[in-house]
Formats: sequence, structure tokens, C-alpha cells
Amino acid sequence: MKYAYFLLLFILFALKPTDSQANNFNFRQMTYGEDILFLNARHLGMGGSGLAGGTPDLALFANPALLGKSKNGIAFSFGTGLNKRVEDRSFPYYDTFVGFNDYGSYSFNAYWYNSFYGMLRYSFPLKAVGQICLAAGYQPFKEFRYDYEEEVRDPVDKSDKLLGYNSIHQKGRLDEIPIAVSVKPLPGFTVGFKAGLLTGSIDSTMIIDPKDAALANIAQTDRRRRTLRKKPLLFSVGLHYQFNNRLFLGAVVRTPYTVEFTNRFTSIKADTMVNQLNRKLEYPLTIGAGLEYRFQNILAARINFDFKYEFWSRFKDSRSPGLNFNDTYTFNAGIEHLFFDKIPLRAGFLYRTLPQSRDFTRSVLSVGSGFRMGALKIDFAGGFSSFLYYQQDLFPDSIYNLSPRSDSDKVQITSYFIRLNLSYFLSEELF
Amino acid sequence: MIKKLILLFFLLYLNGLLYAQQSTPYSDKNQLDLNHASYEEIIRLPLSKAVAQKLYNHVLYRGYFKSIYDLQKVPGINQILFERLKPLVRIEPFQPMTSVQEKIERIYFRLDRWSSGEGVSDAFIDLWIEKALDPMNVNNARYDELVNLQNVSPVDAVAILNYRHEVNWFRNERDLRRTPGLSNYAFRSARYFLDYKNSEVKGWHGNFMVRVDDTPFMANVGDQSEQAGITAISEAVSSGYNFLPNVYYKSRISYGQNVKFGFSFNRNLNEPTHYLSEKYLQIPQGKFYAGLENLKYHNFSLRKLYVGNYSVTLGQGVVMENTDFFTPRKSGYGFRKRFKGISGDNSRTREYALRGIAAEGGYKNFSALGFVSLADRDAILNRQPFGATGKRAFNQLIILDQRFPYAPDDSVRSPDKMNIGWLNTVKELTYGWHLQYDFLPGTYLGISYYESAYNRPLDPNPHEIAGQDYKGRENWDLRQRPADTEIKMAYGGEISRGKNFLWSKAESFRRVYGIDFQSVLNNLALQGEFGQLDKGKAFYKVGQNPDALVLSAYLQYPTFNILALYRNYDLGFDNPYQRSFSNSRRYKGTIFERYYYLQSALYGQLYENNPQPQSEEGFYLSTYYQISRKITTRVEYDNWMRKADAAKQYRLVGTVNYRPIYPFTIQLRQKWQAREEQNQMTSNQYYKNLEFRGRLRMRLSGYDNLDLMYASSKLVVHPRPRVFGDMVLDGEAITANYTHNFNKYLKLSGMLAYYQGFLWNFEDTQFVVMDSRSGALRYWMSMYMRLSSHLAVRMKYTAERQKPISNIHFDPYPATLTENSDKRFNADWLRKYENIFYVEFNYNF
Repeated sequence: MKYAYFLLLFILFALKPTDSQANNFNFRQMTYGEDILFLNARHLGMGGSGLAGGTPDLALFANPALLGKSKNGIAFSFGTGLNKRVEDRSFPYYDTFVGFNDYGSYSFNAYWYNSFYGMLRYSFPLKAVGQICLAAGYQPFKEFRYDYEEEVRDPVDKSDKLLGYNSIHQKGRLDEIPIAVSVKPLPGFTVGFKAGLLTGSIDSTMIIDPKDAALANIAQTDRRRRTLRKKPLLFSVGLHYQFNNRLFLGAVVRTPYTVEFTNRFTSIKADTMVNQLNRKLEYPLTIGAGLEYRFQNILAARINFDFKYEFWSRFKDSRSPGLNFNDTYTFNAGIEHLFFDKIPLRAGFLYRTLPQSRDFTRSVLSVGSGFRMGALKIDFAGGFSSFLYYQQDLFPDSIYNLSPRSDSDKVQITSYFIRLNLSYFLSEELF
Repeated sequence: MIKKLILLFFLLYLNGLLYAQQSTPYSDKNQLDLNHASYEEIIRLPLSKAVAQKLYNHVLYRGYFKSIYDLQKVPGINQILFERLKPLVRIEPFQPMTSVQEKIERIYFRLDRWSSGEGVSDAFIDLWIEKALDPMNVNNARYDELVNLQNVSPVDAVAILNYRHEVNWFRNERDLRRTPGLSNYAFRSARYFLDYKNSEVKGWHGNFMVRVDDTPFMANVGDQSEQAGITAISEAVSSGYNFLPNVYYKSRISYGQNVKFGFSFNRNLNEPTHYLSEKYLQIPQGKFYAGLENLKYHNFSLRKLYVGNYSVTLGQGVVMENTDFFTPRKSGYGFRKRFKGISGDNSRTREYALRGIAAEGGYKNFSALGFVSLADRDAILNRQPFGATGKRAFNQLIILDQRFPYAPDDSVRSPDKMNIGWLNTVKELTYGWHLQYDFLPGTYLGISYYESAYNRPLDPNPHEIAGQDYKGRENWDLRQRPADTEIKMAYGGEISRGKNFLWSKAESFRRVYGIDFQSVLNNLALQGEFGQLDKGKAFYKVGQNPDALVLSAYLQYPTFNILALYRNYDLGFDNPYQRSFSNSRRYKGTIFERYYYLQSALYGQLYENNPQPQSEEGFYLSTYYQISRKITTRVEYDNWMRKADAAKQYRLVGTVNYRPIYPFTIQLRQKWQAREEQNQMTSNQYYKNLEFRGRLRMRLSGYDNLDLMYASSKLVVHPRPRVFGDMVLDGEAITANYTHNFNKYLKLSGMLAYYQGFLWNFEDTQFVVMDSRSGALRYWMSMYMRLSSHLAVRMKYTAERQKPISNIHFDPYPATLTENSDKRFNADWLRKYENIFYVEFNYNF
């Protein structure tokens, strides 16, 4: 039992993840964070595409060269993102003849978390470089939120005896404070540069809370606070080129960056243990390119395609030198129609592989709309993603002196994305 | 010199004139052609830069102005500005579309439906899209070309040919409409595929489709079951299990009218990608073909020649139709049409795909078709060597939903015994031919033959498939039922052993031959096919070899038609390429259906995915009658006996459509289906199924529609011999479906449904089968967007939430609990929900 218990701690806090972690997607998310896939409503509605077809509101997030689309003057935009994650864990249960019956759900966790972004930009003509645009903002970068609770009951005892509660709660996010500049050295050609500073901290708690007096000795509360040792800096360079009135190209390169955490770990069991360790995560280079094509269509149709490649095979974790991640790619597609010159209707699709394996993928389907009143634009969008994998029990039953299950759990993660944002142009700009 | 100066002066003068023309203000005598104006020209109109940009963008991104009054739709142009602009601009006719664009615009709503055509009709879909964009001249069309068109029956095709013979030439659609005996239904469909002159299409044209979705597997017909323990698959990492969605790429490309190319790639949910080559470049294992069509040399015509993957359909499907998909009651008429002849194959068929060369030619009234194929087959191998050969035989060919290298939950064929996996384990050489003589248009007699040779012995020993019980006893010995006779009669063993003169590696073979005929007499079509499986008896001694027979008669009037069909398939007629009319798949009711008795639950696919018809004898009657303009009826009656256990069954479906006013239809449908109550062989297999569907269809303006449906069903079964009385399982569903066309470029549709029990339904372009014991809320939303004449995108989201079930508890013996302390026999909740996406891109050119 003790072995399993320490194994659990060992995995949960990922001081040294093992190869078996490859399938444990929630552990990876807890340790390395989850990329923010969509910044604002138009970005979500278009399936995360926009390297070529994004509006300037997306420049700080996706491609700084999009600033070149700004009209002269000052503009600002801000918005909020709401996400819901549902994690349903179930184990296989058997009939009287030990025949597989179905998966019984034993832990169903649903929680919301939000984020906020804002940006301000100023664009003006400059003879030497055609047009120059400056922008600064605040935006989410990596999400670490994770909530998990389960109830433990005796699977053999007919009275359905309550044994205890296990939980993991983690909150925190890395946010980015970016500044960017773009110039238009040639007609239809824009180059943009962005520098971003990351900020934030992550707090985790794992609790084993037995409700049976005979198990009081297994009670445990582990806390960990991760703070940044120094503010990581990352850079992006992007370009945008207009081939003609219909076809546009965008491309971006984001440099590798390093995040160094100081982990302050506190374990309260029989004795309180305090430990402080450093951990260095080296996130890889990302490159991407996208196209936008505008059709002649009564509803002014346009389509965006983006392709991004992330060199996750070069990702390094100072505490886990043996990680064997794969490079990943993301494919985004988005379509936009426009009603009455004011009301867009968008639909998007995202498909991405995961670092664990190219055979592990996630897909997101989204729709969005909005409206425009003069210089004010309001957009909203929603999307969903469903993801299923198999993983060993997070808290083995052996903690409660029960025989541990040999079957893997089925873990179904359903994510919902909602974005709402507002943009205001102090100068006139065509939609 | 002087001449040069004059010339220079003249050129300067011309340039001045031109410049003067450009800078001249617009007036009622010098109007600007807005549809073809540049931004620089528009900006010279008396309006602001922003409005000029909007005008320019309107033409560029929203299309040409059709009248001067369209200007008022542009934001920023008010009445005063419009009055000012009106005398200064003119609207010239906009650029005409290309002929392909024009045709696409004419049939875009059909492309919408065809683009997602499922499995069984891939060859048709390809043909229809091709012919819709590249119509064939009805004045040169052959019978076999006409009868392959949508909704065209043999009677219709012969009617067209006879009338053509009479009038010599169809001049236009009106001539075609006058054809005596051509049903209105056929005419309305055929006109999209037919032309009345030789219109040569030059250059490249075709289509390309990409579809990505994560729709889980479901049975094509009948009951849906939890097919296999997914745990076993997912935990066996070496099985290649992954989280990749369903992916289907398909393309068909033509050069001119005679040269065809096609390719496709299909990977199903969670299965590993298989590669043709991995050495230097990973090339996914797909299908491809190249073909030539309609080449003539004097009286000889090479109708089709295909290299690569192709599909073949002969007669009524008794001898050969190489699809992986089962279609119940495939009569060859209406929605159950059967493609005639050969075609390039880019369908999702994987197991029975033919790869090699196939050709079809004709000389006067004589036609011949031949094909040869060498391809791998998925098959379950026996563990024990076959007889004295020492070689491992294959037991059954199997169509796999997910092509893993082996059956992950088969403990005796597990990863450490890869030599008895099931993927590409048998090589099959298949060749055959069909000869036909046409006495009259639509009246012919044909003979057909094919032979398959395998590089392994064939031994369908059921002990190798069925598993053991907890005491180690063979389930096959314990659990047999009369229906299992079908398994016992499976072709194989010593009778199948033999050599092949073309292939030295052949270890076993199967030969099937048949004779088919058709005759169309005015409005009556008679069809039939008789096939025999060679089991060593002389082919002319009818009755000594297992055989199969289908006979049908179809009578057609303008408002009435009736189809009568008789079929009789011997138990021993085990032809894997048989796809003729049947109500059920082969092995229904056998131990292969009860997957929990098998060595691997995945072997349940021997029944679940079996496209072969079961051996049955029966009589089928289907009739359509339009009583008046407002009332139409359809009745289907089928009475058959399953040969394996002499179980008699019937199925009666009656449908009434009442349309009191054009935009409103009431549809009532009732099904009665039962198995006879008394049967000495399997007395406890009685069941009865009653199903009612009431539907209200409202056609709204702009092709929008609202569809409400109520369905109710009862399944009466007698569960087990020791349980008295019947058990009744109720099903109920209510659905609301709405489609809104914003215009011809954007369609939004959705459905909201509540159902309990079993339900089948059409959801946008997908046919789905659902089952929920506790009741479920299901909804979907689909957007179909045509970005241009060529490119269309469909995105669909489906969600289903089943009412959870709580406190599930099994009570095994204490010893069982102790022995399986790592397993759980109870659960707090059974939650079932789905979130499904579907994305499809279609490009026609």
C-alpha cells in the first residue's frame, strides 16, 4: 500500500515523471500547462486560424504582422474567455460471470475558469517605413487550472460504506505582457516583431481525507506553490503579404523560451515536510504559416487555413531528462460569412497532435458571430472539444487498504470554450 | 524623317486623347461600368474614399451588381447619393460563369446530398456527380449507362431507347419528356445527367473530398451492440490504438471524357495507419485507379478499362458484387439500386477491394467483362495446422471496423503470436468474366464465372472462433443453436483444396458460376440470376452443388408500380461476394452474433459486418400507388424462411403520404415484423416488432422546411425457456428538424430529439442508429457553406446526453469476488454522452 501511495505522490507532483506518464494527459497539463488555443471570439469562431486572416486584435497573440492591417489612429480591444472542463472518470465493471459490462462513472468533475485580455494599439504613417503600428497588451499564455474530487466507498461492503475523499486542486496561469511593432516596408507587405514577458504563479493542493476512523493515519495534505524565478522573455517575428485582392499569406516564428519555477512543497502527514526545489522548463520553437482566401460570394465568404509546427521533441524538463515527446502540428480552418455588412457568421475547426504521440490528437469545432455599431465591434463565439483516453487510477484503492483495480480508467474530457470581446476604433476602419 | 515625326506626333495625339478620355468627368454620356471598374476609376465618382472602397469591395467580394438599384444596398449610399450617381454609372452584364460553374449552380442542392453518400453507393455517387457536371448525350447512351442513372429503372431505360429508335434523335428535354413509358420520377432525375448533343468536355475535371469526423461505429441496420471490450484494445499499446478520428479522402479526376483517375484513403476511428511503404517515404495504404472509357474501333467498343482498384457488379449480386457494405432488401430498384458493370473504386470498401485490371467491351449485341485481381484479405487464422499439410489455414474472411494487427482481446492470438494475427493474412487471386448477349435493348442473357484462389488452406472450424467457458469447456459444443448450421455449412476443408494454374502459391480455391437474364416487355421488367458454388459436382447437374436463385418482376405505370421478388439461397452457397436481396446478414442468430461466447469479442464482426446475405427463401412484394395528387401509398411485404433453423418470418411496412396542400405533408408509417410463434427447432426465439412513425413535413419559403416526427415501437420477445411470459421493450421518440437556407450559399439545419429505446434516423447526411435504455436527449447542428461554385464545406456538431443510471450492482459468488479482487462488480453511475464533430470539404471542378 505504502508503495502505491508514494508512487502516487511521485507521479502527481511530477518531480521526475516516468515514461508511463506518456498517456497521462492531465498530469502533463498540470505540470507543463495547457496552451491557450483561442484568444478572442473571432479567433475561436475561426477555429484558431488567423495567421493571415486575423484582425489586428489578434496580432499580439498570433502574428505581430497583423498590426499592419490597422488603420491610422488608436484602437483598443478587450475581452474575456470562459472555459469549462468536464472530466468524467469511469472504471470497467463486470457482471456476475466476470464478463465486461460497461464503464461505471465514479468521478465527474465540471468546472469553469476564465481569462482576460486587453490591448491598445496606435498606428500612424511614417515615410521611411510606410506605416508603423505600436501595440501593447495583456493576455493569457498558459493555463494550469485543474480540479479533481472523488469519493471513495468500499466496493465490497454491502452498506456502501464511505471511506474518504481525495482531491486535487490547482489554480494559476502564466500571463503575457507583450509589446509589438509592425512596419510596412513595401505595399502589401508587413513585418512585425513582438516581445513578451511572462508572469504568474501556480498553487496546487492534493488532499486525502479519510472519513473512517480506522484510516485516520492516511490523511494527507500536500501543497505546492510554483513561482517564477525570473520573468521569462519570448519573441515573435511575423510577416503578412497580400498577393492580390483575394489571397493573403501570413507566417510567424516564435522563439524558444525558458520558464524557471521555484517549487515550495509542503506535505502535512504525521510530520510536516517542507521542501524547496527549482525546476527549469525549456519550451520549444514554434513556426507557422497561414493563408486567407476571399471569395466572390453574396455573403462575402472568406476561408482561413493555418498550419503550425512546434518542436516539442526539443522540450526539456530539468527534473525529467528522459522525456520523449514528439514534435506536434496544428491545423486550423475557419470560414466567415458576412450578413448585411455587419453581422459575421463564423465556423471553425482545429486539429492538433499532442506531444505524447502524433497518434494522439484533439479536435475543436466552433461557431461564432458578432455585430458592429459604427466603430464598435462586439464578437462572441463558442466551441467544444471532446477527448478520451485511458489511464491508471489517480488515487489507487490500495491507499484505503483495498485491492487496487488492475483495469485502466476511461477518462473523458470535454472542453467548452466561450469568448466575448469588444473592440473600439478611434479611427474609421473597414470590417 | 518627316514621316517619323508625323507618326510620333500622331501617337502623342492618341495618347492625349486617351488621357483626356480617362480624366473626363463621368456623365450620362460617359458612364462608368461599375461591374468592371477599378478602384481608381470608382474614386473619380463624386463620393468619399470610404464609400468608393465599399463599392469596389462589394463587386469584388459579394458579386456583381445586377441592376442600378443594387447600389442602394451598399452601406453609405443614401438616396441623395444614389440620385447623384445614377446618371454617372451603368451596370453592364456581369461575366458569365464557366459551363462547369453553371452546371454546379444548377444542381448544387444535389451535390450537397451526394457528397456525403455513404458506403453502398460510392460508385453511383461518383458517376452521378460526374455525369451531372459532364452530361452524356442521350442519343448515344447505351442501356447500361442509362440504367445506372439515379431513379432510372430498366423499364425507363428501355423506354428511352425505344423512343429514340422511333424518333431517331432527342432534340431537347421536351422530347425526352414525351417518351412513352418514362416515369415522371425517372425523367426528373435523368434530365440532370443527359444532354442532347455531343458536348465535348476538355481538360481536367473532377472532384476532391476530405472528411474528418469522430462518429463512433454503429450497426448499419438492426440492433446496435457494444461490440467489443475497448479496454483490451486501448491497453494493448502494440495494437496501434490511437486517438485519431475517422478520415476519408476521396478524389475522382477525368481528363476529357475518356480518361479517368481516382484515389482514396480511409482510416477509421482509433485504428493505426497502414502504409504501402515505410522504408523511405511513408505512403499511406489507399486505393487508386486509372481508367479509359468509351473507346471505339469499328463495331468494337472498349467500354471500360481500369487498372488499380475497381469494383465489379454482376447481375443481381448472386455471383459478384464486391462491396464491404450490407444493404438489406437490395432489390435493384429505387433506393436499392445496384451499380451495373465495373467502375473505378475509391469507396470505403477495404476487405473485398479488388486490385488489378478489369475491362468491359462490346461487339454489336455481344458484350464481355473480365477482371483479375490480386489483393490481401483480413482473415482469422486457425491456431492448429491444417491436416497433414502443416500449414495454418484461415478460418473466415472478416471485415474489420478497426484494422488492428491482431484481435487485442484474443488471449490465444495475442501480440506474442503475431504470426496468427488477422491483418492481410491471406492473399487472394480472383478472376472472372461475364458474357452477355442482348437480344433487344434491355433484354439479354448472360453467364458469369469467378474463381478465388488463396495462398492458405481454408478451414472454417468453429472451435477456432468460439471460446471456452469458465470451466474450460468449448462454447461451440455447449452453446450451439440450430441457426449455427449456417456456420457448419461454411465452405472450406478438403473440398476447397486445390492448385491454380496461374499461381503456384495457391492452396485452396472457390469457384462460383451463374447465369442471369433480363427482359423488358413494355412496362414489365423480368430479371433473374442463378448461381452455383462449385463443390465438385458437374455444373450442369443443377441441385447437386449449393445454389442461389433470385427472380423478380417489376411492373411500372405512371402512378403505380409493383415489384415481386423471389429468392432462394442454399445453406451451402457460401459466396463471400454475394450481395443479393436479403433481409439479414449471414450468421444472424448464430454464435457469431453472441460475441461474448467467442474467443475475442471482436470476432462478433463476423456477423456485425458481414455483407453476405443469410441463406433464406422468401417472397417479397413492394408496391407504390399514387391514389390521387394528394395521397400516395407504399406497401412492402416480405415473407421468408431462414434456412438454417427453418424459422419463418414476415415483415410488413405500410406508408401513407397525405399532402392536403403542397407545402404540408403528413406521413404515417407502420411496421409489423415477427418471427413465427411456433418453431420446433428454436422455440424460444419468438419475437415481434411493431413500429409506428408519424411525420409532419412543412415546406416553408426559400426551400426551408420543418419536420416533426413521433415514433413508437414495441419489441415483444420471449427471453429464456425458464422465464414465463413475454417481455415487452418499448421505444419512443420525438424529433424536430429544421432547415433554413439563408440563400443558395449557406444552409443551416438542426435537430432536437428525445428518444428512449431503439431509434434509427437520417441526420443531415448521416444515417444513424441509436439505442438508449434510459432515454436520451440528442441534438445536432449543421452548417453547409458554399464558398464558391466549386468549394463547399460542411460542419456538424452532434451531442447526445443519455439519462444516467445509478446504483448498478452485480452479486457474484464470494469465491468469484476473491479471485477477482482487482475487478469491480458495481458502479455508482452509468453515464453515456457523446460530442461528435463532422467536417467535410468538397471541391468540384
